[in-house]
Amino acid sequence: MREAEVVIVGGGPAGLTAALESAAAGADVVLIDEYLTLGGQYYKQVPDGFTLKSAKAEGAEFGEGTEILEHLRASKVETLLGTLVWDILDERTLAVYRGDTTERIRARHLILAPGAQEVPVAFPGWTLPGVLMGGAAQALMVSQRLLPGRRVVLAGAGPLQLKVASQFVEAGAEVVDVLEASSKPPMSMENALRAFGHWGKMREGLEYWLKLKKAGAPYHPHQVPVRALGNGELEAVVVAEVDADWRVIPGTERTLEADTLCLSYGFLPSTQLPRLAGCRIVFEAESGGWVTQHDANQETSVAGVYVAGEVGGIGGADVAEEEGRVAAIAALRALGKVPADGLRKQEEKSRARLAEARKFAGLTRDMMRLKPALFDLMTDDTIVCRCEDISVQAVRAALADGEPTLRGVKIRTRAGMGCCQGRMCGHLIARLIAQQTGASLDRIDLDTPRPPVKPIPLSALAAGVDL
Amino acid sequence: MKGTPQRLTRNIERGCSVTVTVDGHPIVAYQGETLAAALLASGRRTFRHTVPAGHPRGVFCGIGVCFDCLVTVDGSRIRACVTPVRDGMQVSTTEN
Repeated sequence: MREAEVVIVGGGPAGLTAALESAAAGADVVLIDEYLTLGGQYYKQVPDGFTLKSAKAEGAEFGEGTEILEHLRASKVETLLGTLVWDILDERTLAVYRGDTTERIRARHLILAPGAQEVPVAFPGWTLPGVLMGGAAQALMVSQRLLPGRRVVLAGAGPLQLKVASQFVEAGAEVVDVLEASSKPPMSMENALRAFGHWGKMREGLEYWLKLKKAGAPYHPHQVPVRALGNGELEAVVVAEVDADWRVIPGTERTLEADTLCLSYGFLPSTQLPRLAGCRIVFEAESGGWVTQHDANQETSVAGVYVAGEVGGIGGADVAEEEGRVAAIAALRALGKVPADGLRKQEEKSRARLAEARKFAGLTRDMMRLKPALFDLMTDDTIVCRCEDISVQAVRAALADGEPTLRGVKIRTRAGMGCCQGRMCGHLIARLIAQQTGASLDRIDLDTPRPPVKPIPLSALAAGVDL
Repeated sequence: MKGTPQRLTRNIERGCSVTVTVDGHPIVAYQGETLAAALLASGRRTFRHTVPAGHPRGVFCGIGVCFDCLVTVDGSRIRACVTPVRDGMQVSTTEN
């Protein structure tokens, strides 16, 4: 079994800075990512085989990503791409799947930076091809250089969808409408005042906003899509106005012809790996729900296991990068790679930047906080579990019939037993439990993750030499 | 065709083209593309139908989380959104 002083899971902003900081101090570092390109969802790169005619034409964020990845390639970090961590045994031993086989990697210090997934919001028709999440649209446009549709409706909460909408405009799509569920549009005076001082972010937001205005794209606060329509694929979206609590106002429906509906309702921390490592998970509504508890050094309740980035609470890329650095410095000190008070200056700088970044993150998170009525859009026939085609009605019947828990629903309906292992339906079922029992979300436990955290072929398990 | 996804050309050069066979029909793709991008660019937005209900599904999360974009490649069920194309790949959107 191979061993490394620092093993980092996840090659997004958090994992990249953690890896660079650790390697700079002379630790032997293994960086693992499930995808074939580093950068995560934030520093998306074009795939190998594609060549940019001008790197400069891609903008600042793309350039930052390219620069970090160049540093990484020049460093001594050992990078394992296309590698899935499918289990964590005795806290810091990883079972990984790569190249059709499995092996174990022992970490003296483990930094988990798996990021987040987007919040699925269900309504009738949301499973139709043509309805996709903001992250999918971005992966296709920014990395794959493919425009997924021509007439696009965007919907969600918070400023991220302005960015996705402007990317659609830039790619030549017609943005039919941008719907913001919140009654506070991202550009409101109140939000502008709270963002005071975060000039870079404000400028970025304003650029997106102006691009949309220039393209003549309509923008509607307090509106949501209530139904997606189409014979086999998306053809139209029915949208409606909502009140301050996001309750649909009857009689306000209108129908928009569109081939693409792009949803950006915020993020859920991907806590499967920390849970397998035995880390304590806590509910923080303001940080995206269930998050991995950590101390000021990013260390979790399990000694030697750290988290960085979204998995410890939704905060965005700037927060993630500084958390990655703070976690790495703590691990390096514990390893004796630097003196106990070493890297003090870097740490101070990092903590100051972290405090600033967290302030801004607090603002965007407030805008993305979903109100419970959004989940009243689910009708009896709406599919909740996309893997197993389980409807709201079936889940409600199961809730009435027995233990009102995710586990109970899973046993009675199979919801959550499919390939995604509850990543899509789990939080929707939690909302249905909340509706039915009146319990608050922090009282509704997540289902326990089981290895493998994502499906791997049985042949790979059989081929695993040291398992 | 209305709604057909489209490869973007601004500021990008694609490398070698490869041929992928989808349900018996050859489509052109480029090295580095995901199978999902190649399928979309060929005008296919429906990647499979669920069993037994028969609901159509395509790309949803796009980052390997939801498993909606499953297709069959050489007998294995794989996520089209995170799988790069290979020359000669045999893809089925109808096997389940």
